[in-house]
Amino acid sequence: MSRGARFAVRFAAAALPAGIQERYREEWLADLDGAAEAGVRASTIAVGALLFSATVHRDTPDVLGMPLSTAARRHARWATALLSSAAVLAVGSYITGGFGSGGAIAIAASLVTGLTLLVAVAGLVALWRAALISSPLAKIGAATVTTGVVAVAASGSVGWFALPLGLVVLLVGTCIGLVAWAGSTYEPAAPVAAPQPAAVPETGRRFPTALVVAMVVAGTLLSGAILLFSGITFLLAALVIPVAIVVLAVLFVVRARRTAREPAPASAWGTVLVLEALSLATVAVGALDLLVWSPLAQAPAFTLDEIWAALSPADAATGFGFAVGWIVFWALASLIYLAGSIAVLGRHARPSTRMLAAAGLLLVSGAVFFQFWAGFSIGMSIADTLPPYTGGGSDVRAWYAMTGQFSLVGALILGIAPRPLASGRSVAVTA
Amino acid sequence: MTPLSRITPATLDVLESLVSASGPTWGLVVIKHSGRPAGSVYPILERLERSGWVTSEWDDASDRPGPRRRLYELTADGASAARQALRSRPALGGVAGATA
Repeated sequence: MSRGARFAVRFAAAALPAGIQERYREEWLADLDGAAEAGVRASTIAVGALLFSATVHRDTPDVLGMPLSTAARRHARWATALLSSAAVLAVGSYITGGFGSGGAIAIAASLVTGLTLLVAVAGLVALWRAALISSPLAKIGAATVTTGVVAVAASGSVGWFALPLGLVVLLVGTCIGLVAWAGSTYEPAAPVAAPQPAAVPETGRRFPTALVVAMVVAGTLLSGAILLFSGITFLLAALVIPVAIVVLAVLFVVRARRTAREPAPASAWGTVLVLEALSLATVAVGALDLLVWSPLAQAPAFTLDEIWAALSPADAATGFGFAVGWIVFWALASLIYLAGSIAVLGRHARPSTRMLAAAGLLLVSGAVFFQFWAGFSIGMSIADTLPPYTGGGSDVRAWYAMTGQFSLVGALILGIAPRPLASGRSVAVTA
Repeated sequence: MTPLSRITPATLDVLESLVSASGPTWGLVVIKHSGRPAGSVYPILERLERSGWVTSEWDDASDRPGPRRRLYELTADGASAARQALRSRPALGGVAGATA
């Protein structure tokens, strides 16, 4: 038996849905072992396995290893996590794309652009995988969302009007999808008794929590963006949104307690400590950037003392005040996260590490996002007062912004996407 | 058991191989006896099994080391439907599209 045929068979089996992977892997390997004895070429078995894997009917409970409604919700959760991640990366690139004049940061920025496209396509694939095994309403929602995503993506070449039009279509499609999604949680049990292995982690009861979290994230970001860009309510937005993010992080921590499933307290402690360190490091680096690196980058001909001395007392006080406010707020948020996590870890032996990690990453992303706004006042003052009279920031800020974007992507995926299924499980197909 | 939406000549060859077997048959033997490529036989066996014409089980009786062989066998209803489909084969002339 050739190694190539064995590899092809293993690959074909790995590409199958979880419910039938192990069965066909063993069946095909046994066929390969006996191919010479039966007078059948190994390559025929390999090609057959690959063709089977590519064409097998995947939408039955037996094949999926779970009820259709559960599979649809798992795909829908991945779609939500991936599409919202693509939105985060796209908006992040739009806001911070001007940072960094070249070199590694420019390469990284172009990689992020490509990654955004890949993540969006993966999200649409997950969306359609959910829709194709769901109600007609879900298919309408998927088609509407796809139209909206394509319109937004094409707005750069088609014309500016495609952007607001695409966003409206996207919003409508999201609403339709949410209605279909909510409806699916009240579906009766699948008519075909499907095997429900213990490895499938979620139940119908857990799902609405993720839905609520997703809606809170979407609502917070959307309302925050409206408040921020409406101009007159900048201060209100600058206060409300960070508080909302902290509240959301606390909800994640609370949810970690409610859905306690992880059997490894040591890993949970490690996760919390790593993210606490990351969160505090984010505040420390952000503080240095606000008060030292970015002012020096904006006025390279001056020392730090000269820069601060050149500013009017009002400008210096306002800029310093915003910076200190940001430092104090996010340092406190980091400590709240630590205290909440300790409370959860102390009282429950099996907390959800995913939720604790999502909460920590959410805080990091929030701190990074608002560091940009906290530095706006001092940046404007320096640009108005000292040559070369331009905006911008230090090179650190570009990497800093990227860290925030990927932290939010991590929080979205950990918080919304379903847990991976345990591998190596076997589900019998025969009665 | 649910009727098949279509019975292709390859499906008839697989059914013939299963009908002629005296008991549970290894999938690889079905490939050899039907004369059809594995790329046709594997999906047909899966479809027959999903429709309740065929059941399958592991060959646990053998002491052979390594991965277990998968054995296929027609159900009682499946065997009856298979014989009926095979009897009508000359009339069909091997044309796909008939309903079992």
